[in-house]
Amino acid sequence: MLIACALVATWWTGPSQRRLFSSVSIDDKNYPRWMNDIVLSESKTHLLQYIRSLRHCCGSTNGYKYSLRTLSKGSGECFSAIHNVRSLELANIRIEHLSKEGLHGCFSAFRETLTSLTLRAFVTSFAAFVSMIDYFPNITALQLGLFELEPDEGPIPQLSQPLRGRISIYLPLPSSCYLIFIDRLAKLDQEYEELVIDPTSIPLRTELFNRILQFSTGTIKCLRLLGKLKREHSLHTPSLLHDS
Amino acid sequence: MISHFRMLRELQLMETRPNSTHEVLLSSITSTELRKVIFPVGYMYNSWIFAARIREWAVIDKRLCDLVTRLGRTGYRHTLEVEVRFTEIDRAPGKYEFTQFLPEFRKKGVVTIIDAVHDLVLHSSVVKVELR
Repeated sequence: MLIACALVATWWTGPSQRRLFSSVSIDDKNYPRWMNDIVLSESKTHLLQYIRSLRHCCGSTNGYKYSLRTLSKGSGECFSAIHNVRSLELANIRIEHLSKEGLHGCFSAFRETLTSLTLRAFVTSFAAFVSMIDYFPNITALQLGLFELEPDEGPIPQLSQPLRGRISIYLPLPSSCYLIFIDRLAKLDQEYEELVIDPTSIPLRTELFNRILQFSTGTIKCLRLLGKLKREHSLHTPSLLHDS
Repeated sequence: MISHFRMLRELQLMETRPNSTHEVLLSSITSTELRKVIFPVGYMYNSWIFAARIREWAVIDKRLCDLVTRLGRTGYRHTLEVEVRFTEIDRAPGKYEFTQFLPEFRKKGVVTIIDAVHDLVLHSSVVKVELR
């Protein structure tokens, strides 16, 4: 409807474009159009300033993970033209260790404005993960979902500041690497105030759930257990308090 | 389970009917900073479901009372609010007697019933809510 309005009333064009481009998703199919029709088009580059939420999901077929290095070379030009991004989601990506300059090549345009980072279906070493999240100084919301952990090739970098704000964890498929990752994450300098866990993805009273509850124990002010549990968890379940 | 969160102010529980996990979580709270517990609840269309819900919540009512009493012994000075958030509810005025919800706990804290979809307060045990 916004597109239609923008076509018939010129005074609608600005507000409509602001809304239409506030949240965009770049994937294999639309990437060429993004580059040719907007990023490289002198008349339309102003649309990029409206982007607040950016999702990047390429190479999703056959389990192939798009590499951060490739992103730096391929979409780097696109990303470097987007300046006001607040929220970034990287899905289906291999996060290799990149130097600060390497990360700069990808994300420098919105390094300071980014407050929310979502990583889903990603592969990483712990050191590369730490470098990535530490690159953005103003992140106050980190969402993690479904990952594979690779061995570190070098030392774990020191965080330049404590991790803070909200952390959300969603791990729908069991994997032995989660415990290792969560343990190492818990040992980083954390001052999270909000912890969000989905018990349908990480069942309560499991080892993984208990380890996540070790996050920022001195600073957590808000704990959210999201998601719907199945009916069998109803009151008919014998009370544990009465079991003992 | 969550006893080491000493600064915990707000706990939001998963959307399900009252169960033993709720009891375990409530029993493990030690934070004297606690202000609010949120229970997302599913649907409520008729008085039969409402009556069933009231019965189911009797255990939670007791656990919440125990929680306030237990925290009170360790210096708890806040008024605990329990927010029950319905994701689907028939909002016809007067259809449900919300004062029957958590009857014992409301003597010690505040009960608020919310229509989560429309973000409307349907009932508050301390403020009179006029529904239209």
